[in-house]
Amino acid sequence: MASSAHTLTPYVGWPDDPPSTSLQIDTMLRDISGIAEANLRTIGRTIEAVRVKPLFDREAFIQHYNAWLEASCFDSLPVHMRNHDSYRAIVQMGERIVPAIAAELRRNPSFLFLALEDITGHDPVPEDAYGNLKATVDAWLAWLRK
Amino acid sequence: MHLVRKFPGLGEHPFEITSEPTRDYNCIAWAAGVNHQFWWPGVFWPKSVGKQETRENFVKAFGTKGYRVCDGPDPEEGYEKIALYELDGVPTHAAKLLPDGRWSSKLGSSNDIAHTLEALNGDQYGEPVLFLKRALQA
Repeated sequence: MASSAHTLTPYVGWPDDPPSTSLQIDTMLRDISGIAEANLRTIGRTIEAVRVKPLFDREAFIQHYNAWLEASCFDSLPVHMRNHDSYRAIVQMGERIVPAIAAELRRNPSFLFLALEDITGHDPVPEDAYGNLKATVDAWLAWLRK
Repeated sequence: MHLVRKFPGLGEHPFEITSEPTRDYNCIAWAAGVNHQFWWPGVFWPKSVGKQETRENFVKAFGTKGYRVCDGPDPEEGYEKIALYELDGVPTHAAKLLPDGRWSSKLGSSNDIAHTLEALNGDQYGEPVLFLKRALQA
């Protein structure tokens, strides 16, 4: 925790007008980063310790998704599709992974909508869309936009 | 090849890939003559049929398209046929008999293939346990 005994360096480089060139922006960001790192050192912290961590590991999600697609591509049984380590890993990522799932479904509709069912506990798919993957995914995407 | 890794029998019996991969329909729909839906209990399933994954319910589902259980896979003049596969007592797959004596399967979300009846036997789908037939549609 920072103590009031520390003397921190303020950033005084704010221009009257917003920076408009990439050189101005780069210079400003470099200066701010340098001052932030110096201030963190003053209070005994590192930039790594305070860096905001991503909500989820996108690379891990894509690896699991591709592994699951390959493993389940000959299956029709939802229970088999769900019974896969990579599928379970995706579901365990919880609600934070929902936007990434939605992005993948928007790009290429697949049975990954099952993970949305398991994560959210909802099934917004109307009966007339059952069995139609595109309509099923569209129903999910519409529900997620609400 | 990915297909042969999953279905070793395809390495021993001739087969032919007859469509691009698609998720628009699956094996049960394809065998029932439907190519715009994915038929499975819990996905799309005829309303009048129970949703448990039992042989009886699959027979009833095909029954909504006029199929009845028959004696075996041999071609019969004036009829089309379906083979129902099971693994550990649970339906997994269906194939339909082609006029040339081969069988046509939609492999999950993958390709359609034409194959011998035995070629898909194994850990993925098990083996054919039941056959159904209906009069050829006009």
